[in-house]
Amino acid sequence: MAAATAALFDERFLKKLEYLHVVAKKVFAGRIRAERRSRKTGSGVEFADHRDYVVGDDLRYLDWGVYGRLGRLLIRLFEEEEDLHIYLLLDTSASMRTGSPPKIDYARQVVAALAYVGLANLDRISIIPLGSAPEGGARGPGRLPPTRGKGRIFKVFDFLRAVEPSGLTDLHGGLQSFVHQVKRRGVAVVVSDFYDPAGYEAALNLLRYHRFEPFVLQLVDPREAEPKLLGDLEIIDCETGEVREITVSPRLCAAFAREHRALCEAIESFCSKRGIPYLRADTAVPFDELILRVFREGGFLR
Amino acid sequence: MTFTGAPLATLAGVFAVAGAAVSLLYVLKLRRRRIEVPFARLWQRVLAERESSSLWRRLKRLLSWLLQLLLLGLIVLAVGDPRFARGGEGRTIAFVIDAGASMQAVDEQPSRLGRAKEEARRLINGLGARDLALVIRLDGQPQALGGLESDDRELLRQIDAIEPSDTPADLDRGLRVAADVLRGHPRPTLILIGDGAGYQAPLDRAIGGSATATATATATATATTATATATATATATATSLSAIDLSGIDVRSIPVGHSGENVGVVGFAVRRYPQNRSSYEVFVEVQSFRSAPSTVKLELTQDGEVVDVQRIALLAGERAARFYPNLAGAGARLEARLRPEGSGALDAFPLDDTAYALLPPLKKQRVLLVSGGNLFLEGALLLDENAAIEKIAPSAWDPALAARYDAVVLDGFTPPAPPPVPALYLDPSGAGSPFPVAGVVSSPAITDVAEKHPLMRWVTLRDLNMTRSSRFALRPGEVALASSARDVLIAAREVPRKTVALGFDPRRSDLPLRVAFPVFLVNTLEWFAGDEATLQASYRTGQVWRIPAAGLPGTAATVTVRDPDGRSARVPVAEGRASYYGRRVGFHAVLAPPAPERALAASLADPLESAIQPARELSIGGQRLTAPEGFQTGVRRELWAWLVLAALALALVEWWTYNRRITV
Repeated sequence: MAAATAALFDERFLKKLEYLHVVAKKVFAGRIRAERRSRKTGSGVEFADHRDYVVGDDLRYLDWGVYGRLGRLLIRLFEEEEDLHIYLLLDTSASMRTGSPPKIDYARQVVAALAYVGLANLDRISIIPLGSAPEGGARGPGRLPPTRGKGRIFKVFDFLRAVEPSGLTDLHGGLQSFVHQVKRRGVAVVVSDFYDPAGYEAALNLLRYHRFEPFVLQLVDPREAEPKLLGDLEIIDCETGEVREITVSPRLCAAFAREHRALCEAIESFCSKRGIPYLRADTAVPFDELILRVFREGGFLR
Repeated sequence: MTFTGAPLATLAGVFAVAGAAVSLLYVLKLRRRRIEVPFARLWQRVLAERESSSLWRRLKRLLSWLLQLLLLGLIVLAVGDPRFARGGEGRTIAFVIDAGASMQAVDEQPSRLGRAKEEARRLINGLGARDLALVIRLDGQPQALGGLESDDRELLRQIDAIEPSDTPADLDRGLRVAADVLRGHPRPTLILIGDGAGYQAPLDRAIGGSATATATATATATATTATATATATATATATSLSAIDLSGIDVRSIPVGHSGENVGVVGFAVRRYPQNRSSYEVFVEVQSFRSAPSTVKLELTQDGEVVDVQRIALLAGERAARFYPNLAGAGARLEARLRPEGSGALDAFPLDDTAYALLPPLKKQRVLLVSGGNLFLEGALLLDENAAIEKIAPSAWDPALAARYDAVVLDGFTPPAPPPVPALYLDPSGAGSPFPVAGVVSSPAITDVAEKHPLMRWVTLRDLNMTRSSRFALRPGEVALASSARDVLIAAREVPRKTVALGFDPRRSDLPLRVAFPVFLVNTLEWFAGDEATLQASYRTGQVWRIPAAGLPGTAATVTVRDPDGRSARVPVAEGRASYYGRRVGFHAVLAPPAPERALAASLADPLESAIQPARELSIGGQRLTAPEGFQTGVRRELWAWLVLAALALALVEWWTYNRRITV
């Protein structure tokens, strides 16, 4: 397993990352480092908007000119320039172990690529595994604290190598602890198969409510989405260990495929309704193509 | 419904055990393949929709189980070989199928026999489940081809195995065989399938039959039938020993054939001239069985080469004889063949259009004369053109030398051991005499002569004078050719080899002065050689041929006879003759290695069999024989094959529904 994981981040992989970085620069030409603007009163120089004064606002930002003309107290808002925090939230539940190749391997590459692009843009990258295992426990390496600069990519690799999928999927629990522990807001990229019995809606809403900018990447293994099974089987849930006897017919397979498609479409619909960028990643598609789609989709880098 | 395979109780037992096993297997938990899935809840969601009606699901499982039991039931039923049973008691039926020569007539397609077999097959297919049947082939040697059978496949196989025979049909024996089998069985029925040619005479000798049978057919009780049989048997015995007892038997007839148009060779004989064996004469007799005058060509061939062709005009029913004197040629195989005057077929019965005959082989005989000097004898022997005489003195006698000759003439000399070849003894004496000398008779007068014996043909011994003669004591198998009262003066025997002895010296009689002397010598040498008197030119089919074993190795206990179809049969040799029942016309071969192969000719040559006019109506005791009834095609159709097919179809349906996940 370790060898297989090591092979994920080989020389070729690094070359691909560099290529992606170059492409990302082209796509977002004209953007400079730390140029990301947040619309809030702050140390920025570019006027953005007015809003009504409320008690407690810094009087220095009162627009006295408007007050003289209109008699209203308005606070001048500036675009604040700040470092971007990118949180890569990686689902490490046992269901990520399944698939061919395992979804976790694909997820590792995708996360590594996004991290590289972010690091190269001098953004602060943090990787947070989402699993039911206790943080820093025996099963996982905890989280990768915000880090910056291209040189840190190997640390990212090491971290990702140490991630082992296990336990139940608990998006809500994982994100709840994330939003409470992280003070700096930023882009929160959720990489998961979204096979959560408790649902994904409350979890994604948590990010929104806490003013993160969620970005959803759903990993789908085509063989899991459209299984080619037949006959009398005993299916075992890889997370819960639940066993069920079924007899699979082509019709049942088709029904399952429809159900899976409905699940994916429900997530997409949920995201699009809430302005959350959503991408469904087919693990049969090479990861670099996916990354380019991420860039084209927008929302990850602005 | 009856079960001709396993009985019902056995079937029920098998079904109970196998059904229990099937049910047990059905409740056994299926061992399933284990598959790890990432999100079983999704599967559950799908299954929850599908399993909404668990009642239907249970029903499907029940249906599947019932289907398995149904499959099992069909197979068990098939093992029982069920048949549709007709009501009432089963019949016992003998199918007597004429396979005689006249059944080879082609006025029916493909032949009368083919048509008869077709009729028999039709009836067998219409047998009832409880009927028993027997097939009897009716030819020169009628034979039951099997026992009483209920298995129609076996009966059909027997019917298919019937081959035409070139012999007349012996209906008398055929009816006796059938009656013997049927007697004592319930509802005995005899069905005669044939052309009816020559049937009426044996049927006229039959007692009972259709008249009685029609009456008894309504009365199904076996006891009644048995009583009737017993009564009729007593009547039959009282009437005549030659009568055929068919009382109590329902005799039916199916006539085949519709044309009697035929011209055939009814007689064919050939022989060499005794005085000129290189020439021969032929006698052919042709008869028309047509209702109108006709003209045919008679072709005589020798070893395939045409010797003579004659045009013969025949009136309706006319018999014409043709005599061919002074024919010569090297070939031995003669055929008399009738050909149509124009093109097309001659008649409906080609079998009698050709007759076969064999010329006795032309061979110069080497004869060793052992004599101290006898001019009468030497002069008479010189008259025989077919013999080459070599003379030695008695002192030069050597059995090994004699073995190199075809025959030996011993003039007044009796060797201590008999020579290894046929021998003529003149006045033998002492212990070496071939026939023990019982005494001497003075001046005997010949009183009895075996005139029918080939040796005595054209030999007159009346008033023969002699001074004295030995009288022979004969043993079984030895023949007295001439006797004086009870004293045998000339004797002959065939076994172990042909031997003739005169009890007197011809020189002490007036025999050398008579014509009888050279004739007797020629007859003797021809008899030794196996002349035409013993070698039959042509045998008739349908008879036991007594084939002379002369020329065969002395120790041969059997010879092989190969018929014109190439089929060989080993036949025993007894008293110097091999007995063989001839079935086929044409040239046969007799094989007894190391002796060279010999040929035999056989012809039908039977005017009765050439009269192929079918009899449309036959009767017993004035009662007309009618066609059989109560044979419904398909009544006895076997169900097992359909049951197996149904089981197979069900299995296919089950397989399909299972694989389409309809029944699971």
